[in-house]
Amino acid sequence: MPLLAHVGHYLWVLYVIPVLVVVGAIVRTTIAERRRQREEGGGPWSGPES
Amino acid sequence: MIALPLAHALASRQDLPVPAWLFAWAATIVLIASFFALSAGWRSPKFEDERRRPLERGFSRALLGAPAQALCGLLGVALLGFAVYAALHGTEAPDRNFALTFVFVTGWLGIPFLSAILGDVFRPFNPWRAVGRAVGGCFRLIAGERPAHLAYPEALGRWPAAIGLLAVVWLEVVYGGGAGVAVGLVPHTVGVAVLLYSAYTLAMMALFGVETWCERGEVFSVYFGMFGRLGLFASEDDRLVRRRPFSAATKWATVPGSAALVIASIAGTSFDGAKEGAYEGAIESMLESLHDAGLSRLTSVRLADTIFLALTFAAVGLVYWLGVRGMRTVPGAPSAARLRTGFAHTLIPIALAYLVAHYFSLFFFQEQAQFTYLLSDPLGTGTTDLFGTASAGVDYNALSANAIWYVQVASLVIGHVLGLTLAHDRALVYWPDYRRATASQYWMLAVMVAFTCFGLYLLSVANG
Repeated sequence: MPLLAHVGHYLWVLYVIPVLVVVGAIVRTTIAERRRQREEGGGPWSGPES
Repeated sequence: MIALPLAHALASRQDLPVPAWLFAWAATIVLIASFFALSAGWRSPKFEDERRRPLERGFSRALLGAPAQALCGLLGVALLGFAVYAALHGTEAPDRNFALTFVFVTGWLGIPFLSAILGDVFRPFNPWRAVGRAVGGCFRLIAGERPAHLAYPEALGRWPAAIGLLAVVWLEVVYGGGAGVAVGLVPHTVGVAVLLYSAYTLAMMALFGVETWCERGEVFSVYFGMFGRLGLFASEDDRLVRRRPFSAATKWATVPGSAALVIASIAGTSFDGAKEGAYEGAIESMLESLHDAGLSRLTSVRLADTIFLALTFAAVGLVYWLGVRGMRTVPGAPSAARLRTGFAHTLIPIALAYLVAHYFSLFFFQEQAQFTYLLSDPLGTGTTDLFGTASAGVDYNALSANAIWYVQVASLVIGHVLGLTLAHDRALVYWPDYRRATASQYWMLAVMVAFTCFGLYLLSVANG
């Protein structure tokens, strides 16, 4: 199968996918959280200060 | 790692039930589940308090008393002296010379494994510390006063040890790997390197004091001591104490250069694993370019390897730095410098996991050689048989390739879950509101997933 002859060189993609999924989820959650806080008018990430 | 006959002892895996990359996906799921479990059920710091419990006074006295210390120190010096003698006067075949396996497998790999369980086991056996203390004791006897030392520059912290660790890795992986011989480092080189290092260490001890240098700059003390922070036992005021596992690690990274040390450890192991696997094509391409530019073949190999080792160090540091920058965006976060220091200890279990994953098989098989034919015929000259085991061999069937793979996966997953747990615990100190602490740990989750997948990729390529 000539088309698949070099597929082994791209196997790393399968290891990168979980990292991208997790990073994507984190970025999405962070943006959504900030937007929600802004809309509620409490400033970003309002809550008890540490 | 040195190119002993078995190298990483990794035969190709047979009949894994699923493709290797699926293990990375499964490990990611385990990490995410652990993250949510920690968020839900771990709402106050638990590792900050070491909860030390002293052991029996008699037991402590027996293990920590002057006779025991002298005996351990003497044993350390004798073993080091014997290893140097074997390296300088024994066979040049690395697989038949006691010195290489003793230094790079039994010591370099075995002590971290043992330290992570028991505590800092190297300290009493440290040959340079023993010599330094003996010389200091003699000075006191003769001069009637303690030797005066220079004040150690606090800003230097553990940087000398971090740079020294990279130098050790460079020697064994880059210099040894590019020596143009199939067997890597030759014993004579190791013997000379140990002698040079001994002279340097004793000089630094004379300048800054034995204990100060052991805590800051002596590569082996600092490196093994880092893993010892995970272990169960410690000595405190001449008393042996049992402490909560992993808790001592929380106070380890307060010294500058600590993050660099643990990053150097992860980078060194990663580079060694990737050198003849994931990086192979890229290194080959770079060395061809360097060779075409007029450098000799050997210089090109070493320079290309050095560049990739430096890049690996930078990449591991960058991933950690991104995690720190991510945490910094959470309201109430301390400064980036404090975060960088405060979370560095969470990388120690990862450094240990990488060590286990990459060298477990080498350690398992090569220790059979260490305690059979290398012990009976330490010089490898075929003229001695001290314990009647000089003709013994290594049983390569004692562990299957699949069993090795499962140990590798398990060590990586457990190490990263532990790293995540330590990070979550520390986050609760910086963000007492557990919701913010959890939000800050999204970023450390990403760091852990990245290191896990990277580690599994390196292993899958090396094993494949």
